[in-house]
Amino acid sequence: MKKNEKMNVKKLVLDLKKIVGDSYVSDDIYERVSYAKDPMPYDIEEKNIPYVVVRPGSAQEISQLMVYLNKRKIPVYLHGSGTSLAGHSRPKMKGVVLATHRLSWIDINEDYMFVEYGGGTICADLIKALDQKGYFLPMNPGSQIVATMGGLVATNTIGHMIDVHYGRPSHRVLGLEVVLPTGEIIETGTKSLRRPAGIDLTNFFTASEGLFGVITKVRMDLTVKPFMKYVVAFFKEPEYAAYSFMRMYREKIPIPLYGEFLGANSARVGFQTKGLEPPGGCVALATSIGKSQKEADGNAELVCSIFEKEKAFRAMILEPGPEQEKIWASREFILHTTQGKGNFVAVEIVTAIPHLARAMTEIHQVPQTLKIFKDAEIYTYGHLGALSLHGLFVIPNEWTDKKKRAAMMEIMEVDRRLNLKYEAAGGEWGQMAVRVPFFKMKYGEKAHSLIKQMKRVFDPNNILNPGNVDGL
Amino acid sequence: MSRAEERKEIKKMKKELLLATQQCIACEFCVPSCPLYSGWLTDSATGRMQSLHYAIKNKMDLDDRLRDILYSCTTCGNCEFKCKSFSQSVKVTDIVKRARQMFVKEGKGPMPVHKRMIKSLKAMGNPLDEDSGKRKDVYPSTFKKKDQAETLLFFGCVTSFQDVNIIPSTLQILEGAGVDFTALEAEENCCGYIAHLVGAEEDLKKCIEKNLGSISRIKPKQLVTTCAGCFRTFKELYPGEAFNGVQILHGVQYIEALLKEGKIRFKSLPVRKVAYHDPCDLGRHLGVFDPPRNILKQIPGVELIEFESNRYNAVCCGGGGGYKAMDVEKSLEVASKRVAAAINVDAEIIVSTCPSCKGSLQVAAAKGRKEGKWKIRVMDITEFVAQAMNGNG
Repeated sequence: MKKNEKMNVKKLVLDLKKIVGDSYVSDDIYERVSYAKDPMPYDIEEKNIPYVVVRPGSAQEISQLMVYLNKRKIPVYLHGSGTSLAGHSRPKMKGVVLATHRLSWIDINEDYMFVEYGGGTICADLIKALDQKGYFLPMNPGSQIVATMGGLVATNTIGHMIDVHYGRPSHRVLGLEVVLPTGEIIETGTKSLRRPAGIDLTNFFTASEGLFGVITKVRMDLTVKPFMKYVVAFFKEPEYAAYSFMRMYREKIPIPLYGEFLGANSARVGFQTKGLEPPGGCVALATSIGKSQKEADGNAELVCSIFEKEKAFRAMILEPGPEQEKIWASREFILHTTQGKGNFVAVEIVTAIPHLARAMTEIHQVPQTLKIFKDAEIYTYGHLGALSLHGLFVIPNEWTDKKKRAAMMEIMEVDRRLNLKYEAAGGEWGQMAVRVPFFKMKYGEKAHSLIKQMKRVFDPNNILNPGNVDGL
Repeated sequence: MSRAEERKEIKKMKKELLLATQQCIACEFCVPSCPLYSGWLTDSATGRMQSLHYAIKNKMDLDDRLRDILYSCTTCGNCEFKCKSFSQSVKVTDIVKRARQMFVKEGKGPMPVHKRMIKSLKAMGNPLDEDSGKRKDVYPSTFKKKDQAETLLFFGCVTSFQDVNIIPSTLQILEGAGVDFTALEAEENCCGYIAHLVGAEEDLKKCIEKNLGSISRIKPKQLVTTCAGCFRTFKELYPGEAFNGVQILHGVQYIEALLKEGKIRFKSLPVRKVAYHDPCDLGRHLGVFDPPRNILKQIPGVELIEFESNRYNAVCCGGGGGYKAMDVEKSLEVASKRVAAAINVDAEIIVSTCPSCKGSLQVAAAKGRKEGKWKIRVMDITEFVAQAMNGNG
């Protein structure tokens, strides 16, 4: 669509209804606003509210939609469940929101040892389906109860899990069905557990952040559920929790599947929420795995001994039961820290192994370096085993949108600075949208320009999630 | 209240709601938990919060579409337990009810069907357009109302006009336990919960006044209700001090106490798998989960099983928040899902502690039976207890 060209929304709605049916198109203002808002702490701008929301039910319908929209150069924003914390799903100009929820189905094929599922399948539903057959989804995003698999695969994220075990979706996906922005439907990859050597288009989409196509079907290898054992440790100084995980890598012990961390503030809130005694410091949690329970138990003992060596004032193996469940669940209650006062904004700092303890110290000093959040309370948590740390700040409801936006930018500057300093890049939320300035600084203008050129190859009219490659 | 005062009040409400709705970060964690979720976000808590926020922020007129969005909520509160902010912050049901009050104050709410219910409430003392004298119909002829008693029973409108078993069963239990009790019978007035749910707070106040007058005449030590909605209304909406120390109990709390005192004894029943359905008002909103389970566990022959979603995660029957009156068909669809969930865990009987839940689930069970999908009974716990005391069922 040309700039300043007036959209005939009535005709657009009628045309889209012809493709997907009357029940799956809405130009209701409340629907449009609801689909446009994402967890960014400020409201959607009027100029970016979509014309219409459409909910197609198949790759064929998406293909027809794309042909129609591409011809008219109408922007399309994909919406799985809109959980991105980096602004991927928020429309950056007027257009159509394409919600993928109806592409929800799961087919486990034990003869081939793969599972196929629709791009709109909810992560938790897939976890449950696999679990019922003794398999395991090698990813664990905090948003699993709503996040769609298409979005997770396109972000190539595994959430809190430690990379060294099962890798990323790009290591597990055998093949994809993708609708290109120009409307063609392509299949990539293989049905064999043996992946193609050399060029495989699968890899272009498994970390595409929705820039190159709409993932409508995923084929992923089946992973047998490991045996697990849980460990918890309490530290006075957060740096020692970091030293513990650094030491695990150094001493070549079997790295746990999860290595979680709760700063003292966060742990206090989380433990209180679950009805546990305040821990009196920060908390490290680990899940050791093995091919047998004995192996998992043995690995957990090694992890526990490392916590003890690194000055944990208490470290113990948790037997399955209510206490173990409560302690692990306390990790999920981090947002209780907002206490009804407002939204939040968080950094995601990833480090190379040698910097983990230093980053831990620095993240706790961040408030002193800020202007808008000067001396604000920071709630730290993270996935130390995965070399990842978060710092969360509360954004009061009373602040104006302008101030909230400025506050978020201030925090993203910290995110940028520390990820550069510690020689890494965000491991959960992706590199585009709000993180484009980081991408440019870390990899250079040329690298960014290459991404833009690649986008043009797949999406010559730049209709799919436009703006995400340019930054928020 | 003068029109100027009302306008001031509406302005204040809007300011509060604007701030409160900002707490929803639009993470969509709540979406799958909404029993009315249709695939569109406005049929979910986050959609309701975002819609309301947008309308107030942009100073939009309160239109019918927004009214429909906000009244299409069973106020079950399941979303609050799935919220990423874990609703220490996003009190969705409070926001929805407050927004409904705003609609009523602006003369744009409640829904037409609710207006008829409120009209009936004012004229007949119940929202069901029933003559108040009919409350007596379901009482056994042996029941003799007393002027004063230690325990006052309050049954509520759904039980009184739409159920034939709960009142006789409850009376039988209390007679069997040798308790000094009475009931208001035809003098009972609606507790006012429906008025509160649809935003008609002034009408709630009138109900409170009437009922407090009746209760104070009886001078009971405890007020016992078998209705989860009435119970929540007495506990949360009536001024606590007005009860003058009268203890407010749900029937299950009272029966559990009578069991502990040895005043109730059970005979053996045939072995049956019983799934307990937590009513939202009693369970999630007031945290009463164990008494009904403790009672059922003590009945010989009962194998108590749990729904996959139970206690704080229990799924609504579809009848709450004034929604059933608005859309009977959709409400039945929600209730049918709950019955299907009971079938999934091999239940033979669903037991609940709320007449509205019982009514909704019973219709869904009957519909499924007619369609050849399943065969399952739905009972109130009082019926089950009365049968167990008799040893027949």
